[in-house]
Parts: sequence; structure tokens; C-alpha cells
Amino acid sequence: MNAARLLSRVIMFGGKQKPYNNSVSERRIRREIRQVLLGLAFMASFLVIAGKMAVVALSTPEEPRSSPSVSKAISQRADIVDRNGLVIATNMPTNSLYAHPHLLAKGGGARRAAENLAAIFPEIDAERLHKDLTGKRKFIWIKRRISPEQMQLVHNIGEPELLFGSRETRIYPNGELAAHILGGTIFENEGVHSADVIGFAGVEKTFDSFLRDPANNGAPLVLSIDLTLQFIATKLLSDGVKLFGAKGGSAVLLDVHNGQVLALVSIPGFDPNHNRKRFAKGANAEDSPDFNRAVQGVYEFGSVFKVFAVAQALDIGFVSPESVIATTPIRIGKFVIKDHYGPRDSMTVRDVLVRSSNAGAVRLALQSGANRQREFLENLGLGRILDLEVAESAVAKPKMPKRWSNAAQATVAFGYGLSATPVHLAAAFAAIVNGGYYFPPTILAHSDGNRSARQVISGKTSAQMRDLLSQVVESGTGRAARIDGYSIGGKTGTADKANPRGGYYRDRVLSTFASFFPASDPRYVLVVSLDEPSAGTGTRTERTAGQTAAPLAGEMITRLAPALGLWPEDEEPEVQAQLASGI
Amino acid sequence: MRVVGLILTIFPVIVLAWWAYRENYETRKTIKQVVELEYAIGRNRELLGRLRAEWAHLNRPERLEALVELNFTELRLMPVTRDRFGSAFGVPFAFSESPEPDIASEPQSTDLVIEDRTQ
Repeated sequence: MNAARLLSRVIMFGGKQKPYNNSVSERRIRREIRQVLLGLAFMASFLVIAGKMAVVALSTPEEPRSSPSVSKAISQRADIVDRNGLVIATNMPTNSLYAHPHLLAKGGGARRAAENLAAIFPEIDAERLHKDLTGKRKFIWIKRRISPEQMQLVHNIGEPELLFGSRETRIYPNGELAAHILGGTIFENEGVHSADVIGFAGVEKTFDSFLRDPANNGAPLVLSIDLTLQFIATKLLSDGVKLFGAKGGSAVLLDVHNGQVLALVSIPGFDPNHNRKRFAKGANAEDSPDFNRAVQGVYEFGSVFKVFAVAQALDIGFVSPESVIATTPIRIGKFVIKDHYGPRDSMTVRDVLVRSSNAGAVRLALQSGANRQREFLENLGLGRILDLEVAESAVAKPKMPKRWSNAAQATVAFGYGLSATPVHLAAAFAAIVNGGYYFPPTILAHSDGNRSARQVISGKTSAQMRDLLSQVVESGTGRAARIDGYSIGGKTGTADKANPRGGYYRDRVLSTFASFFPASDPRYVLVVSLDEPSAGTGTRTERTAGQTAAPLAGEMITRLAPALGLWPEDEEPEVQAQLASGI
Repeated sequence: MRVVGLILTIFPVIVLAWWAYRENYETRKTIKQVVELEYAIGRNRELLGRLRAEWAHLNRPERLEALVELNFTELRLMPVTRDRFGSAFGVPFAFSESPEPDIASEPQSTDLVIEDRTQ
């Protein structure tokens, strides 16, 4: 049967039905029709499948997805902000520059690229780069980090084999400010298109995993630092270091009621935007600008430690501030300890602190007892590594006497034989004046405000110490720290520096002034330390803390106290009088 | 009856197939839109980060201090020191003469201010 006939039958079958008298042939026709329809259906199916195969073969493969990706497009590393939310470390997309030397244009392509690149980046040596570009290597890094402007200039060279890879770079918008706290970052696991940014010092190192944890969803790390206070402290300390011709200096401003560090400065400083491989270590580490004097530097603070000897004696209760004790020279083994300034046979405990008597402090320490002295200092966090969240704190191991002999007791009483960092000192000093509670210092702005503290001295002893330390500034060795408007309490300490070859230098000192303000109700502690200062007045060179660190601390408090919102104390009576009169 | 049954079966199948087809393409379209939005969010976050960094850089205390010194003649800004604290008692009260200010007198005081400016 030909197709035309079959089709006419199909049409007839679908159209008006004509009577058939032969049922056999009718069934055959129907069967044939079904076969044709089935054939057509198969053909259509095959065509569809073939079409789909063609589409699959010709189109770009794409992973089937049932939901959109869950990436939140956040930075690789979270920001670091100060206590007021000001950004102190953030990220910027930048580029790296690399080349495939073997693909560079022949006939002077490498020479032209090297010369042009040397013109854009002054630190690149054209000859050396040319040598690298014409060498056997098939891949070289030219710059790990370039700015968008530099990228455009490299584009303008017109060499297609100079290639760019994306890089997320850590930047510190405030430059040198708070550099020692932040530390720095380096690139690791570098690929052409990305690199891990890893913290290698400061809080960047301590909180490296926190900052890189995507689960935090980009939440910033909030430090307890106040950028304004940090700036004021840095500027004034820097000026002080210059004025007194010191090698360097440090300053720590601490909130006495929770141990939060509000400013932490070490001079000289550095710019963390210029990546460094690692922080200073070794014999001359202290001279490096990277060295964090406030956290990493362990020093003997001299007379400042008399505060602890007197506080302990008062707390045990075998003396009162008005008790008179002998201050004649005292022999301990082969050493004789005597007072440098205005020696007397006896004086009150108050004067031991106000006039900074070595012999008096030693007698008080000896009477307290070796074990109690050691335990007391340990309770103040001295003699052990501090648990501060700045990475360098972990390597600052303080020196403690191996055997707590009479000689050790005596030297520790006036600040030798036991070393500590300025942050150790600030935290211990805060405990003496805040009512007797030791708060471990922290660089984080804890929101709870209920940090655990341990009581080291009674509230009564603390009040007595506040009174004595105010006297030091009113009429004692710290007179130069006295300022208008704010009452200060504090203690000076001028320590001869230890000679690495044994003994002590006679003309190199560390001058320290540990202070608190306002004296009546302390809220902040400021510890200022100057390394090898010398205040020249005519022919005489003055190195004592009373002449160097104390006036500098006073000047700093003049600026810091108003910035902290503290009302000038000498204004208050007038205001109070107005309030009392009901105006 | 069989034909009706067939139609009643096949028709919902066709409708449902059409619905599934449409839903599939709608979903793909939405996924594409979401991906595009995420890219846009990423770009904007990057831009925001860049602006915040720039803001922090431009507002760094060192620069602000230099600007204050540079513009001292116009701004006359001084560091905050103890004598910069004012007392609430030093603030003059607008209605010091009438202890209970009435609203009706306010326009008059505004007129006075305008008058002052014109002088």
C-alpha cells in the first residue's frame, strides 16, 4: 500500500465514517494506522532527544543548582575598631603584579618592560628585573601589592604578559598610631589570584583565627583603645622623648575599674602598612622601632616598687602611715642599703613613700616576711607572664628572684631584682588605688563590664595609699607632676639600667612615673617610662624621674583628663555652691 | 465514557506538566537574580569597605590636627583643656524674664532675632 492511499484512508477514518462491509480489512487498516502513529511518536521522541543532545553539546556546561550560593560576600579578614567604633584596621582590594617571562615580546620586550617598571616602582632595579625577565623561569612575582594608580601605569606600558592577580590587603588608616597594639599581617599561601592574610604580631596575631572566621559574619574586633586618647598620649610622649633626649619611652593608660587599656604607646614607632617579616628579637631588639616597650619590655622600675612594700606593711597592719620607723643604712649580706637624698635616722611610713626612702622600704619588706612578700607581688600579677591579648606579651618573661633570700626581699622592696613590663606595673598600681581589686589588664572592650577581680588589699589600705601617693605629688618626689585643675597621685622611680656584662650602668637610667587621677576617686592609671632620659639644666644633667617622667606625665594628664570628660576639680566648689544656693 | 475518562486524566497531566515547566524556569530565573544580587551586594560591601577605609584615613587624628592648625584663623579651634569646660549656669535662658514662657510670645522673640540679624 502506498503512502497516498494510506493517508486518504487515515483522513477518511478521522472524518466522516463510511460503512465497511468487510470487518477484516477495517481492522487491518486500523492496525496500520496505529503502526504509523507509533512510528511518528518514536520519530518525534528521537528528534527531541537529538535536539537536546545538540543543545547540551553546544552550550556551556553549568552546574545544576537548586538554591543560590550562601556566600555573604564578606571580607576575608574582619575589621578592627576602637572602643568608639572608629576603624583602625580594614581591608582594601588591591592587585599583585607578575609576569610570564617566556611569553614577553621578543626583540627588546623584556628590556622595555623592565625599564618602564623601574620608572613606576623606584625600588625596582631595572637591570636585575631585566635579568629575571630574560632568565629561564616561566613565572616571576614583580610586586606583591600595587595600588590602583600603579596598576593603571603598568597597563599603560602595553605589555600583555605583565599580569595582575587580585589581593585583599590589610590597611591601617591611622598609620603609626597604635601600631604596636595592632602588629601587622603578611601574605601566606600565595596564589596568582588570592593569598591568605595572616597576622604575625600584636592583636592581629592573637586574634588571627577570630578575624578570619567566616562564622563571625564580618563582625569587627572591638578594642578597648580610644583613638583620641591614643593620639594625645603618642604625641605628648613623642615630644617628651625628644625633649629629654631619651632613647625611647612608653605610656600605658588604664581604667582602674575594669583593667581596660585605653592607650598604649611605645616610642619610637613604625608604620604597620609596610609589612615586616617578624618582630624584633635578640640582643638589640629593644633598639628596634618594632619593639613594644609597653608590653614586650621587661624592666626594673626602681622606687615605684616601694608602693607595694608600703601597701603590704599597711595591709598586714604592723604599721600605720604615722608610725615612725628607722631609716639608718641597713646591711644585708655584703650590701649596705642607704638613702640617697637627705638621709635621716627615722621617719614616718608616710615619709618613707613621700621622700622615697630605700632603707625604710627595705625594713618594711623584711618585716612583712619573704613568703608573704612573694605571694603579695604574685597576687598583683607581678613576676609572671601577663595574659594580655597583644601577642608580644607572651614572650615578655619577667625576672623573679630564684631564691627569696633577705637580699632578694630587700632589693625587690625598692625595685631591683624583679622586672616587669609597664602594663604589669599599671595593672598592679591600679589595684593599689582602686579599693584593692586586681583586674587582669585587657585590650578588649568587654561589654559585660563585670570582669572578675581579686581583692589584694583592703579598702582601708587602698584609701591610705591614695592619701600617701597624693602627698608624693603634693610635696614629695613627684612635685613636678602637679597640674592645675586635676589632683594626681603617683610615685616616681629612677632605676639604673642593668649592664648585660654584669652590674648596673651609672649613667643610664629608666625613669618611670606611675600615677592615678583624680586622686580623691581614682578612675585612671597612667604609667610613663622614659628610657635613658637626660634633662640638661646648665652643667648639670638631671635623669631622675621627678625631673623627667613626672612633669611629662603631668602634661599628659592635662590633655588626657579633659578628653576623658573629667570635670576640672577646682571648678567644682563654685558649681557646688551654685547648686546649694538653688539657682 | 472512556474518552471522557481519558480526557479527565490527560488534561490535568498536561496542566501540571505546564505548571512544573513554568515553575522550573521561574526558579532558575530567580536563582539567577539572587546570584546577581549577591554579586551586587558583594560589590557594594567592597565599596562600602573602601569608603570606610578612606573615611578613617581622612579623619585620622594626625590629619585633623594639621587641618585645625592650617585653618586656625577661621576656625579658632583649641585643644580641649580644663578651661574649656562650661557650666550649665553660664548658659543664658531664653525666657529668663518670664519664668513660665507662653507660646503666644514666641513669634515676637523670633522677630527680634531676625531684626538683630539685619542690623
